[in-house]
Amino acid sequence: MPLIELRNIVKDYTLGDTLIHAIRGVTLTVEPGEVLSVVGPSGCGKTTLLNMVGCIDTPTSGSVFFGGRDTGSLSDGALADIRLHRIGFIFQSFNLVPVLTVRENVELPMVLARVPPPRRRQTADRLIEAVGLGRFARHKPRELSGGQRQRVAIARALVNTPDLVIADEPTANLDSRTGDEVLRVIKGLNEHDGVTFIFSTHNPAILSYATRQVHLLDGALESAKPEAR
Amino acid sequence: MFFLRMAFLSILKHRRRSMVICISIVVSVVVMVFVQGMLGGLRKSFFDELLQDSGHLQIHGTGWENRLDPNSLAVMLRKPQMLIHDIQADPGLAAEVSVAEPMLRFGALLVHGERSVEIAGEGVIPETRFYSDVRSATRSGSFLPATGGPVVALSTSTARLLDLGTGDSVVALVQDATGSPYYLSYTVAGIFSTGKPQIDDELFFMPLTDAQALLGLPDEVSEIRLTIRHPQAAPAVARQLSTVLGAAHPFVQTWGDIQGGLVQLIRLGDLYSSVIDLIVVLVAATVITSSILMTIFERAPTFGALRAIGMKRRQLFGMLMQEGFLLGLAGSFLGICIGLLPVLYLQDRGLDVGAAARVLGTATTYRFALSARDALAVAAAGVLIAMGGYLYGALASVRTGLLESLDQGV
Repeated sequence: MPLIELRNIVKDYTLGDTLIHAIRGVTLTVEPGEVLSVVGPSGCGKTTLLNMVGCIDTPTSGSVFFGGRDTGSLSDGALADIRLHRIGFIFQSFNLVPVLTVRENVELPMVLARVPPPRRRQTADRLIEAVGLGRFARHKPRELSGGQRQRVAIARALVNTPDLVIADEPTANLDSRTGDEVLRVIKGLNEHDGVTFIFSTHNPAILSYATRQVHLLDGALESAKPEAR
Repeated sequence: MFFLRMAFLSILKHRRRSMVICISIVVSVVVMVFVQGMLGGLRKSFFDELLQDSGHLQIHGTGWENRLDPNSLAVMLRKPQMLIHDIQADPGLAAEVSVAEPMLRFGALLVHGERSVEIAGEGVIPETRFYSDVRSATRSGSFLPATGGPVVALSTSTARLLDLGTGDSVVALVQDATGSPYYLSYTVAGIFSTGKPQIDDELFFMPLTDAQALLGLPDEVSEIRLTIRHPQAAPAVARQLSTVLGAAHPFVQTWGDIQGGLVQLIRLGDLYSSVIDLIVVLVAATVITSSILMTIFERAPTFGALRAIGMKRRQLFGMLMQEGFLLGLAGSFLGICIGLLPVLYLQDRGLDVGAAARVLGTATTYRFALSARDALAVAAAGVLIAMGGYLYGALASVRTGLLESLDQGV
């Protein structure tokens, strides 16, 4: 069973008097263990597509199935549960909580999932070590570089052992060396832990990290061709 | 605890906003503490002191309410001890009534040498449990000692007018029960100063038996004064007294009837306090709401990120309300500390209200009073103001769309 199945999804926005067709009938499946990159120029609908896959947004028409469940039929609370337990998010602008330390930021999804504090701390510390930030555990996000913040976001995305990690332009705010570091972390997690990744990018240089790429242009898929690792 | 810590850290992070909110809570709590302290003084004076003197219920003879002279001897209660016995014999009344004493109020002219003063006399049993404030305010001598011949207790002002000291003799001239003038000489046993003009300027005291002898009313009194265990039950007890003492056709007054003017004044005070509190609450809540709303947009990406990683709307709502709770707690604590300073000062030193004391039924030095319960209620109100102010902001936050919060468009 595919982890994600998009069936002819359409997303329209109204901007003033103008109707904007952000996504135009996209059909796509993502299998467990894949690293899928969604490629396309700015404004082509990559973020909108990822938002719908991540249960952050709902399509105007069509269906999004997550693990075989139609997300359109789920309540707000049930969608929050899917986001909490089954999806990890890595945002382009990191979106860490500024008042919390690195460890607390990583612990946050486990707090929401009511994981007992000792296990919470143990898991957070392990992941912080895994992303190479062991000595920054007590630092606040503002005390970290962009790459370090993105690695905190990766650790946060993984704490509840999600089935899927969605990364929206994960290297957009990073220099090329740091971007490579982050992508190597993603690739390592995919290869060792079998975590499914979907990331969006308009940077062709990072496509080699994906097992498959889809091209989005003006809200429609151009192709869905497999890529060699 | 985690969310509480997050709330606490958010408060610290947005120091300026937190300060504005905290100050508005502090100011509102200080105002409420002051108003409560002021009215608490009036209530304390009324319930703890004034009612201790006038009793919760007074039983008079039939027609007492229609008399023209407040010290008239025309309407008396005969055989008061029998009436008190009837009260004590009724199980319902015996359980409720804690003190029942006969009193004899009369008009008199006190004369010493060439000086004289027209004043009301109160005949009380020497061990009376009423007028404890007079007993404790006795500055020289003692208040109606049980032995030692006919004695009176005068206020300092009366004693000064008559140029009297303890041990001196004073003549009490009255119109007795037959309407004839009669006088007897008494020794000044005690001189008191309560600070209450309605006692110091208007009353002197003598043992009940001496008053009865002076007036020629051997077994009559002007009233039986009662204290009951539950003052709020006074109307019901009054009805029961009328039933039990039916044969004597007494006229029973409750403290609400006796102190009607003051009860109205206290009610007005409570209304005034409620209006002030309401205005303060509305102003503070408006300041807090506008302050929190200003930061909703600023913190929207964080809220969006929290919801994107799985925080439910109610959890976000709870987190923001915890923030309001913490600020309310801090503001209330500070407000209570600051507000208590003037209240405690005025509780200790008092405020000179001069002639208004007669209207307020208090001493000329009006003392504030704030009970721990009232202080806690004000503190709780401070917390509720903060949470009320946060409510709109929290609701606005959870109603904002997830995408809108994340600031992600097409």
